[in-house]
Order: sequence, then C-alpha cells, then structure tokens
Amino acid sequence: MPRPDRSSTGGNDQRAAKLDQLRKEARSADRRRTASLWVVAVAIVALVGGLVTWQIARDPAGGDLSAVKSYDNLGREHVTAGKADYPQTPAVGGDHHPAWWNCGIYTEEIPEYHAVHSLEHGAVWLTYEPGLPQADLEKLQKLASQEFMLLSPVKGQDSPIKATAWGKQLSVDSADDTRIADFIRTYRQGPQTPEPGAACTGGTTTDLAP
Amino acid sequence: MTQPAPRLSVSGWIAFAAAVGLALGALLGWVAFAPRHPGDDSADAGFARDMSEHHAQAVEMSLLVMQRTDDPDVVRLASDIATSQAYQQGQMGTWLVEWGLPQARPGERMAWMAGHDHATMDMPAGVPMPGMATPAEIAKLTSSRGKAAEVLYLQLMTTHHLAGVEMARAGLDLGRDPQVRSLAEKMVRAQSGEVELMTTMLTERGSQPREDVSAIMGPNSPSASTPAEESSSTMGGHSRH
Repeated sequence: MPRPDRSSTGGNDQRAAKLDQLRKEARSADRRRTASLWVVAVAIVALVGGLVTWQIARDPAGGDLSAVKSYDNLGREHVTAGKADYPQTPAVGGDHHPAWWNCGIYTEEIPEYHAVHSLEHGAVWLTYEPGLPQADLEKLQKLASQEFMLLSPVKGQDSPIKATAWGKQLSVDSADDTRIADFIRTYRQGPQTPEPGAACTGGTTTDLAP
Repeated sequence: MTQPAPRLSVSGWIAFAAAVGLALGALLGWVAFAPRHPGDDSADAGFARDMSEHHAQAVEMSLLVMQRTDDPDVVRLASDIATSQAYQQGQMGTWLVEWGLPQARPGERMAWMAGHDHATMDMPAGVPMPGMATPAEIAKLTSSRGKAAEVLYLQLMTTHHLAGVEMARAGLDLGRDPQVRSLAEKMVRAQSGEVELMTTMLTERGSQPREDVSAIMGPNSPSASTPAEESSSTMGGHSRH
C-alpha cells in the first residue's frame, strides 16, 4: 500500500524540507550548547555556595577573637628565688613558681608567678580592675564557675576586664562582652596549652615565694 | 514521523540545574564538612566534659589520701583510681579535640542528661555536680592523717562513685558514639565494683558508707551479677582480684 506522504511530492520540496530540518537541528543544537553552559555554570555556583555554607556553619567555638593578642617565646622555667618580672599585666606566661595556684574564684590579688603556672596547665584567668561594680563582678563569677578558671582582681591593668590564657590575652570594657565566653571556649585547656592534662587543683593557695 | 518529545526551555534547564547544583553542593558540603563526630550539644560531648571534671576530683582526693596514710590497701585503691581516671580524662579530652570541639561547655553542666531518668542525689551548695565533695570536705581530707583520712576518703569516694556510676549510666543511655558507650560501660562496672570494695574496707575500719549503697545500686548492679567479667575489662578494672 503506498504511503500518502511519499506518494507524489516533488524533489525540490523534499530538499527544502530537509534543509529546513537541518537548520532547525543546528539551531536547537546551539540552544542546547548555550543551555548546557548555563546549566554547568549554575551548578558550579550552587555547589560552591553549598560548600561555603557548610564551612561557615561548622566552627563551634565561633566568635570574633581578632582582638586577642598573642605572645610567643615565653619562658617555661621553674623559679623559686626572687619574683619573676612580667612585661604584661597580668602576665600571659613565662618563667614561674613550681607550685601552680589552685583554680577558683578569688577576691584578693593572687601572685602572678603562681598563676602563670596555672595558665601553663590550661587555665583561663579572668582579671578585673578593683572596684568593678558588683553586678559585673557577678557576671564574671558566673563565667568563672567552671573547672580550670581563675578569677581575681589585678591593680593597674590597662583595661577594666582581661581574659588571659598561656600566650593569649583579650582586653574588654564590659562584663557583658560575649567575647569573654568565646575566649574561654577557645583557650580553656585549648590547643595553646603547654601542659594539657595537668591539674589545676592540688597546687597552692598560699604565696610560696621567699 | 512523529513530533519530537517536548523539550525543556532554556530557563527550565537553568532552574533544573540550580536545583540539582544546590542539592549536589549541599551533599558534597556534607560529605566534606559535616560532623562525622558528635556535635557540641551532643550527649557524647556533654559526657566527655562533665565526666572529666568529675574524674578530676577523684584523682585529687586519691592523690591526697596517698600522701596521708601508709595503709597498703588504701594506697593501692587510690593509686588504681588516680591512674585509671587520669587516663580516662585524657581519653575524653582527646575525643573532644578529635571532634573539633572546645573542652569548655557551650551551656550548663549536665544539660545533656535531660533525657535520662536518673536517681536524684543530694547536691550541697557550692558543689558543681552530684557526688562531688564540698570544699570543706576537701579541706578536712587535706588536714586528716592515718585512719581518719582513710575513712573519710573511702566515704567521699563512695559518694563520688555512686554519682559517677549514675552519670556513666546516662552516658550509656544517651551516648551514640561507640567509644563513649564502651568507656561509659567500663566506668559503670569498675566504679560499681570499687563501691563494693570500699564498703568492705569501711566495715574493716569500723565505719560505713554515708549512703544506703544497696538501695542506690540495686541488687542487679553489674558488679554483683557478673563479677567474673570485670577482671577481663582492660580499662579501669580494679585490683580486688
């Protein structure tokens, strides 16, 4: 049985139709190429976006600690004779007394050469200029109510409140500054600790320097 | 010839690509950065942090009594507790480092235990967690010598262990990480066994625990039911055998 579409059309018509078909195919191939370029581009952008989002979301300690000052090449010797002199107030590290100061909350000044040894064991030392308002002091006491924390007043420090770990120090103006908690989370027994695992109990609460 | 199947328009393809790309990006991001480890608020991390602090006081008290008596049984027990718990503190601290988490908590102590149906224990003011000795008790242990120090140590450590076992049970109940669950189980066994040992040692010294131990531990405590398995425990096993 003859098929109606092939029965009687002329050769010219057939060629024109074929040409038209080829042009159409070329155009759609072009479109496909453009589209696939877009597809790849958008996919890459989305992929990078996904990765960056994850990367940002995964840091648990968080907080902006860019104001933390770092100190290197700190002495680690045990010295009993005389009193070590420290360039920072309060000291951020250096030679210290063989006895560490027991972690806890103190309302009197504590000897730096003992406290520095506690820093070496991973303690964070919160200090404040004497005369800090009671409400602010209570906020610091709450922050210091965990293991490996020292809290004490320090006369003559150049900021109302400071947070100190071995080789690290942050100065803040207010007890409400959330960077204090960020500092504790990052540096309390943090990676900068020279002697991780050493205790912050069983040391001394008495000044043992001669 | 039939018409070709209707194709997606260019904008359709782009929308499709955006969706696929986002899904792929999220998946890849997850593969690359997702915590394959317990998170900051997990029971595993909470257990590691709280048990470390709890252990620290057990080590402290053990070191104190070792300097205050020559009794070989007490010195041996204290040495066992100090070395095994200090080792476990190191294990737990290392987990936190491996998990990329701070040693300091994000919130309150014991928040991770909320889902655990635990026995309540007295917690005097100034004591951070159940079972821990007060500063006054630590001061008293520090100033005691000889048998008085032994008895006080055994009583304080029994209280400490009873709460320690309870926290370890919570770790076993709520922890997901196999290492955490394994260590928590070893703690339950070792500390339960030591509570029994210390009860006997207190009786030998004409004293007794401050708590009703059998009421707290129950008749089916692991140490009571399977004493033989304890000696095969590689960690925290005590020297009673």
